[in-house]
Amino acid sequence: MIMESGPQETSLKANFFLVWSEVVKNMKFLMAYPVIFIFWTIFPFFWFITFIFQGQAIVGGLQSPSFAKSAGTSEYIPFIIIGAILNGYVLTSLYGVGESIRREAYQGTLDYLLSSPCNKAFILIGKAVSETISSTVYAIIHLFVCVIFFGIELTLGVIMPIMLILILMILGLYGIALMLAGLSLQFKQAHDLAHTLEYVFLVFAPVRYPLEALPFWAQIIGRFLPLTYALIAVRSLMLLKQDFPAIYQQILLLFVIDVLAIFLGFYLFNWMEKRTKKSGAISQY
Amino acid sequence: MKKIGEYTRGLEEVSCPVGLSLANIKAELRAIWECNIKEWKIELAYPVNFTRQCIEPLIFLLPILIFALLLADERFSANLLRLVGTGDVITYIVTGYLIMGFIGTAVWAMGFSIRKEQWYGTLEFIYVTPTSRLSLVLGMALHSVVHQGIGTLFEFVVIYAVFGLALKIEGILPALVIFALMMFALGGFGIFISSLALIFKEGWIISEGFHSILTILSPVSYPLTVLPNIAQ
Repeated sequence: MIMESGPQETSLKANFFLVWSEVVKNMKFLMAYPVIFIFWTIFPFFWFITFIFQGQAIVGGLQSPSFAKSAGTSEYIPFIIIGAILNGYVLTSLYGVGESIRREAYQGTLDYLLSSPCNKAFILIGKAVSETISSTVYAIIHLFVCVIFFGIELTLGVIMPIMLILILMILGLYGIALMLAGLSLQFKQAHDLAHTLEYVFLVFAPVRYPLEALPFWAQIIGRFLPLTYALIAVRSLMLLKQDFPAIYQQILLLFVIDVLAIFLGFYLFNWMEKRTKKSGAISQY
Repeated sequence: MKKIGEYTRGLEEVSCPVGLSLANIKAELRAIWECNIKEWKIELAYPVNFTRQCIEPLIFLLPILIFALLLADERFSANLLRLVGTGDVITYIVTGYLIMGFIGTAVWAMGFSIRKEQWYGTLEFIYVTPTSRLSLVLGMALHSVVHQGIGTLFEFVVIYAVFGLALKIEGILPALVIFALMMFALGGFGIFISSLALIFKEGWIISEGFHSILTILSPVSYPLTVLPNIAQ
């Protein structure tokens, strides 16, 4: 029996299929290069372990009263670990989603993708979903290892709020990644743009230190980054043992940034797509 | 069917200088210089990329310094003084990272110099030129070292201006001698990485691996004594 469906339902199904196909394609790529999976599983530990040794050389122990003055906690190791795990999402969103359009250009498939009769936004949603899945797998592995070896405390009560914060942070990051993808259509140097954005997050977001450690002007820049609010909220729950109502302001601000970033991201991407199609510069690299 | 001789007829035969003659050394030095110039021309064709790479060492150092300042009270650490003889965390970390930058150059820039030629499709052409392959790598290494030198100088000037560094003037000359000796070792290390990058197509993982492990195991921002015994 053939089910008749209206154009809206068909469109919804088609878009879902588009997202699904993109997820499957990206997962196949990841499985084809297991060394990349191993890299993202192991190397983030190398990047933050130097901070732990550095802390031990300076403090001579696991707690720093001086650090507590601005961070609110003297335990610098969990502080660094939470920063590193959440920062992993920044790296995968910038290099995964932001550069994905340029990768299609390198592979010679961008022309076909952009000329296909589908909503291009759903292609990017598919890329974002697959990146979210892989990033979350890495984050779970990292958290699991850190709970066992570094004594990170994770209670059941904070898991749901943390998941909400993570979802909001990922939405904001992918809004920024969309802007990056749009810009890379026109300016081509996606890797440089991604690197520059990575520096902004590394310095202005409270990944390795609290925001209060920065000068006032730098704190203002930090306040525009979704990672900032996510880190403050997650650390408040996990390290400072605060309740969910105590961090509602951070979550509200994170939501506002998400809306702005996603709106700007889609607008910029569509605008750049039209511009590059007109100029005929889509597959140039 | 034509014989090989018919294809090569009319081509000028070039004699490759061999051995340790003055003419040969001059030719190899020229090749090193030309390789270095070629790399600079490519580099400066992308000014945004060049600028980004020059400020990169500073950007990566800043979070490390801010973290250290938060841990130590007013940039002084009694524990560091006990371990290494100086309590000034900024000077200790900055000097470590100034050197680490050149190790990064050996691993990334020198290591990828040959692989880059493969990407550009020019590896075969430079391999058949009548010059030593070592000269080709040294030319690219010369560019990498000067490039890193610019980044390091910028890093040093900004850190000196913002944080201030307590350096002993009389120690600078011996430090430069040690530094020059280290550069020879790094050259060899760079050549080793470049050969690995040719074998393994995902060479960036090899470079990242070496760089990360060296950063952990070298006394860059902490003395070796804080590492577990096996890592020491």
